[in-house]
Amino acid sequence: MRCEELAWESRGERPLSAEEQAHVDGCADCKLDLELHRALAAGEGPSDALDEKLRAAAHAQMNANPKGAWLARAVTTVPWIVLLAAVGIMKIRPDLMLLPTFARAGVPLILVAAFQLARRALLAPGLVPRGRWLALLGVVVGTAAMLVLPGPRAEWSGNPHTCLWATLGVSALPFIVFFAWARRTRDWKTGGIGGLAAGAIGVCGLFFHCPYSGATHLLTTHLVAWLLLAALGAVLVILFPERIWKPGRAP
Amino acid sequence: MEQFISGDAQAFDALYARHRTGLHGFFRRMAGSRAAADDLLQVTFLHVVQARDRFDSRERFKPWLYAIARNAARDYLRLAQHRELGGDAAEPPLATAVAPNATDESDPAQAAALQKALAELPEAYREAVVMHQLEGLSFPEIAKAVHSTPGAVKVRAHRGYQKLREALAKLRGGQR
Repeated sequence: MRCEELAWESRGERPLSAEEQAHVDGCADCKLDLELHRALAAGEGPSDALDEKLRAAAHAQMNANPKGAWLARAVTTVPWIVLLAAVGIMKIRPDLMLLPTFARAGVPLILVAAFQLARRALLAPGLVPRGRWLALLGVVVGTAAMLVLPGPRAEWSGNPHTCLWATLGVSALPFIVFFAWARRTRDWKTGGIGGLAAGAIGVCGLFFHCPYSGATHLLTTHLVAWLLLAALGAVLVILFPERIWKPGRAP
Repeated sequence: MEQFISGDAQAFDALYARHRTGLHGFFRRMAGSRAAADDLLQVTFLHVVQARDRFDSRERFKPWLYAIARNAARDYLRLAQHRELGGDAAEPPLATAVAPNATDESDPAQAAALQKALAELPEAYREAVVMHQLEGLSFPEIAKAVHSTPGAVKVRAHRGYQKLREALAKLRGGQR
């Protein structure tokens, strides 16, 4: 074992073996390293009074807010509400639903799955990289599904900007909610995932109505809107992270 | 952890007992004073209680806890710096100016030198050293807490240790 590793791995805590101790006794570098590690760890913990105060405040907060997951549960149901609303509209105004039946059923389900994956990654503050990759996978699968399940007109739209702004508009409200969550994590990647989750709702809502399913149209308007929301989420989290430290908030 | 998430106060007590000393030490080293460490400890654990439903129970608790703690410490340091620049004498001074509590350390001169050297380290180096040292977080765990890679965190910790060793060696040389 190298000198540096001796202090590094023991962190000045575990008793040294006879062989290690003999080495330390004759090595100025090791002595200094161990002294540094022990000095860094020195010091007492919080006082008993603080322990008591903090526990009481935490218990009070836990009782006041038994779980606090109602918002998460509410948001989880949003895409299902969008789907139900779409089915309801289909019954009332079938002329608004321009897609063939199999596309109506398949694509929205995939987009809702993309939303759920993104929401899942968003709710665990910055610590689920696997969830993030799954959310991105949802975007890829959702886009592929849109491309392979054609609408009635597989061509370029004469007014591409409409779809872009419509997606952004439908996604605005969920985006605000997700941004409020994402900024707590202060992680730009989580902000991006928040944008993707919000975008999934917009893309899903629009997909029922948009008659144009040409690849160029989908990739330059629907997908661009989705990715714009992801980029916006990431940038806004960098620019406006939540400040956790609020003097005077602690009891 | 599941019990804590579902609101079991005893589960919170157990988590608090396990992490209180290490986290308090982390704050003391990051912020430089015992009073600031007390405040930051409270803010962090209350935030943990508030955000518990967003914790993924398949993950380890410690990196999550330290991600919150690191944000709290960074905010505190930024706020202190702003106030110092603004000349607000009523607020606690920065880590560099705060002498450690004499009851905490066996050798006050060494403790003061160490705290000064720590305060002079770049923030990223300091948090890597302190997280690794005080609660024995592994480099992958620290990387999760600071949203970086294990390799980058290891480099920061090594460089931080190197600078601290130099500071301590200088102190030893000066005492002879």
